[in-house]
Amino acid sequence: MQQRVVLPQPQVNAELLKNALRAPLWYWGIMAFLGAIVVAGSVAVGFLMNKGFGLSGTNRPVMWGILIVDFVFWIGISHAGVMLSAILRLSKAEWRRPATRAAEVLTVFSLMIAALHPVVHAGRPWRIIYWSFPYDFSRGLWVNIRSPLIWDPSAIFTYLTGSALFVIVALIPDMAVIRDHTTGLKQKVYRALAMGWRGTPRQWKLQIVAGFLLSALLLPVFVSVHSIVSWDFAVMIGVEGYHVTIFAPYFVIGAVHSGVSAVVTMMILMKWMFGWGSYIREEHVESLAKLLIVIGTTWLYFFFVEFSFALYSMESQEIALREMQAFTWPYWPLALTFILFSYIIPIPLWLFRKVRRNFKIMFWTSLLVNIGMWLERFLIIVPSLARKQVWPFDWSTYHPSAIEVLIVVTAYALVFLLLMTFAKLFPLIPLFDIKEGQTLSDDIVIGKRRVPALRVEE
Amino acid sequence: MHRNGHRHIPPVATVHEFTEDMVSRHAATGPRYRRAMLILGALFLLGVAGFVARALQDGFDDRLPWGYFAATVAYLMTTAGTAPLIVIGMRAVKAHWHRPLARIGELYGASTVLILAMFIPLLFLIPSAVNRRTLYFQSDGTGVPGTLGRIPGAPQVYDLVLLAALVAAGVGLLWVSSRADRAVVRDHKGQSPGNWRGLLRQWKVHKVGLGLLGATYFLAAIGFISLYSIDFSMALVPGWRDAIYPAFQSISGLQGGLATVLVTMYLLRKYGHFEQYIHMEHFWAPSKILLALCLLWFYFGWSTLIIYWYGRQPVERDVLQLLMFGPYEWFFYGAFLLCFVAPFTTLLWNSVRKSTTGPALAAAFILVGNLFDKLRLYAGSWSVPNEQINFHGLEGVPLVHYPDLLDVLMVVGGISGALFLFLWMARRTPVISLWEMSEGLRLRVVRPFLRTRLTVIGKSE
Amino acid sequence: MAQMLGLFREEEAESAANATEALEQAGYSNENFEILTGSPYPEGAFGEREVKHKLYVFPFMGALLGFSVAMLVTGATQAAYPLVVGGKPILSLPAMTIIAYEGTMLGAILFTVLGIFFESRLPNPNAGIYDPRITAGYIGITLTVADERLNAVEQLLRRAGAADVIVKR
Repeated sequence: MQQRVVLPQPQVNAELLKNALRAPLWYWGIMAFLGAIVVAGSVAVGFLMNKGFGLSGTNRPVMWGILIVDFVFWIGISHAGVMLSAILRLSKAEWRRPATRAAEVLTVFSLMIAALHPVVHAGRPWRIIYWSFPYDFSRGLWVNIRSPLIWDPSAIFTYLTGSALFVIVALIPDMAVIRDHTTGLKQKVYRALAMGWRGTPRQWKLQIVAGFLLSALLLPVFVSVHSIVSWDFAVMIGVEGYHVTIFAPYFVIGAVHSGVSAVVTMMILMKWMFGWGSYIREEHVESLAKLLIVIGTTWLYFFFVEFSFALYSMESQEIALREMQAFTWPYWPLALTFILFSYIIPIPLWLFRKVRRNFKIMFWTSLLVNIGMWLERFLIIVPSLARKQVWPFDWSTYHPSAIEVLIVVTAYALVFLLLMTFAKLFPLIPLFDIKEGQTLSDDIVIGKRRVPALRVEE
Repeated sequence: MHRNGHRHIPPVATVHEFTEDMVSRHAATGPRYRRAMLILGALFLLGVAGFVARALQDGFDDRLPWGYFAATVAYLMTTAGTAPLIVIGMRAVKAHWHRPLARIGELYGASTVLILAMFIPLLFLIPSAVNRRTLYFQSDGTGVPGTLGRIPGAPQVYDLVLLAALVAAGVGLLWVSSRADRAVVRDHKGQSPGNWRGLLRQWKVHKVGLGLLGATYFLAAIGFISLYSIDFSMALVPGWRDAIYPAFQSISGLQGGLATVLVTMYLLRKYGHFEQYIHMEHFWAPSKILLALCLLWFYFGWSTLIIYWYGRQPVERDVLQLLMFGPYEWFFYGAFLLCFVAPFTTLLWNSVRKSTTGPALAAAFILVGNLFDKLRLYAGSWSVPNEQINFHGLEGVPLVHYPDLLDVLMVVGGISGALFLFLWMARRTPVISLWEMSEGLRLRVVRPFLRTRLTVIGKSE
Repeated sequence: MAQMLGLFREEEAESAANATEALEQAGYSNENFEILTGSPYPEGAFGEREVKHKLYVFPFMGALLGFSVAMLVTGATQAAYPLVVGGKPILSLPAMTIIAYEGTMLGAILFTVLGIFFESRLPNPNAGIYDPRITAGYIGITLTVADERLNAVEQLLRRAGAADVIVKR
């Protein structure tokens, strides 16, 4: 049964704009801490560029290390936004309302950070333009559009532009709320951002239609982004374990698994930090957990098929690689942790209603999924490269250097820092969506039972 | 009509009116219905005759003559066999529009019996899994990498067990779901009501039963489609290692299942005159899912194509030739056109989706396209000579194997048989679920909201 | 002529709907007045006129443009530097399809957003009479009233239940 609370609009405004209008002291403490990590990470990146990429742990044949692992991971997290916002909006799921903005913003920031990883990994970042922009910078040399490394920037650019615009369009009515609740310079800024929003029926109708239309347009883009990332690996035949037809949907469903889990983690954090218990309720986390059971199990099906078809090849090199991934030091503890964290521990727990409605357990288990899914990407990328060559004297392994670890940690801090900055400027829960949900809620009485109902225009 | 030109919501029938109407409709069988049953029954018998003639003429030693028959089994499995999945899925997410189409999907669950009957002869045409690429990883002990030694009965026994589970769940689902409705029909005929009395406890068990049988059916259907597509097509073509293929066939199954339900619903509405209960919204809502499934069909197919096209290894080129651009290219182009291009461009427009004809037309495209898809996959894979079964890759792409009269009879007969079963079962239980529609009527009211009228839909847990 | 804004409390939405009816009886059709709300209400809730828009045309235009540009760029880059890589043809359609797909979607999204602004009539900083209480839940009815009828309309709105009426000349 849903626990409906109908709150007056001034209260909704006051509670959801609390942090944007007047942030508490602890907020600045967190910002300072995250800022310090980001500064340290930026120094590390500068040092890496100055001295050369040899400071990383990558070496022949493992030329893709944890920066690329992290790139794939953050691309995956970025799939949460559209997955939740778009699918739930299109299916008119009521419980989407408090989750959409946070998910969309997480998409934008994680995608920005994801895109930074290959830039840093390139060693000489300015060359990225020369490699990927379709222009003959020298001697009639044009970029090779047959390479997936060109597809990547085009997909990420499309997705980043689209999801940023998605957030901006949905922010306009909320900017008008802040405009009406501030004074002085702040009000001037929000007045400009609200662009003259008044809340006419035309503006609201376009806002709702825009939500559906942009959702429908962004859904195919989000599928393409991670598919293209997977094709970075899968279209090559030189590395065992990469050339697999299922990679695209396998990566996408894995991304959705980790992305939606990240949204659960983030929503619970928002509830705890900003005291939004009236908006982020047990039923929301429960619905997300139910969705995750389906997503996680579909992911497991794809994982099982992917692994089985490696063995299906009956090729000794491929089978040896799988054996190494699963049973050989130092990979086996990672493999065990990966499967335990990403499926075996969380999903069976989420089958229980009590667990699904428990914020603390949901917080930790959703965090586990992302640790597991990070390891999954590591296990896909690194061991395959370590056994890329046929002869054992060319085999090697990979240890990340301290500088790489620092950059990866910085990426997490930077995403969190950007999210916190956003929370200072704009509401992380869409005000108008919450208010609309209240307007549309109703009840149907059958005998002694009051069934929660929804008013719909059909 | 609203004073400013907004839409008009039609009045909703009461539970009593609806039940009376449905029971009286169920009691009568029209001449057109009988004629359809007769024609389908005759075509089915011709199909059986075709099967017998094929068995006598070619026996069960060579796979080549049976390719189109194997394709028919795959086709029925990914259309009629997957129709119940749509109901199971929509019931699970409590989509309120699933109610009028629920029984249609469940009735197709009965066709799994025919799929089982057609599947059994195929078991004799598949070689043992030893020393060749299968998911059973078997060898005769000569040190083939990644194998487990011998597992008795693979692959036949495992596929058969899974299909038997599917049949049990499909028939069980129909029986459990229609139990209350059959009691209503019996009450109206003045017959003994049987065990069903409508106790709260019975309803509780009924709902839990539907959930469990639905979950079983879902897992068995996806499992069987995956195994059938691996064991009865991919593993027969040396060099074809396509991890996405079972998932692609599962998606194709969901697409075909939804298309089957939509076309049936359209025919029922038009010729059975169920306009009062089957509205535009019952086509509009699933049409969005159908659109998404068309995109997924393309996406999964594309995922194979791009990897093979980039790989460009000889084995990959041969597989692309065999299944897409070689002997069966016209089937492939037909499938591509009718499973993706035509329904996608049709359903892209909201005005088309927001009608009864538009989604039904797109669904009809898909049903034909799905047949082409299965024909290219199975006629192609079954034309590979048995001697090549454990090769690394194809030794030359086999020539096209055209269907003969017996193939046509078997394909048409198989499809007619499934439809005949549907019509036959629809005489035994109301074709629109009485209990589910009644529940829906109780949970749905039209109420004024300020100066407009809105539908209020309750969602009970 | 002056602009008038009647404000109704959130919990008195029924009064706002009554006011629009009273306005219609007084000779102001729903073409003359506009409703302002702090959150979306179902269409037609206040008897306002139906909103017509052509937003759906925009993504198609954008998609067409994006597809054309992407095909042109990918085709031209390959033609400008005709080097065979990995045995693939000079004009590699599968590779072009992927970039063309992204181009199509980018075009569609950009044009949709342009369409949203255009059809919502935004940005429009001086759109007309407004009150910050709208975003706090009040329902506003705005209309342009001839000077000689100002009092009558104000009384009409107040009688219908308006908590406040603002006039801007």
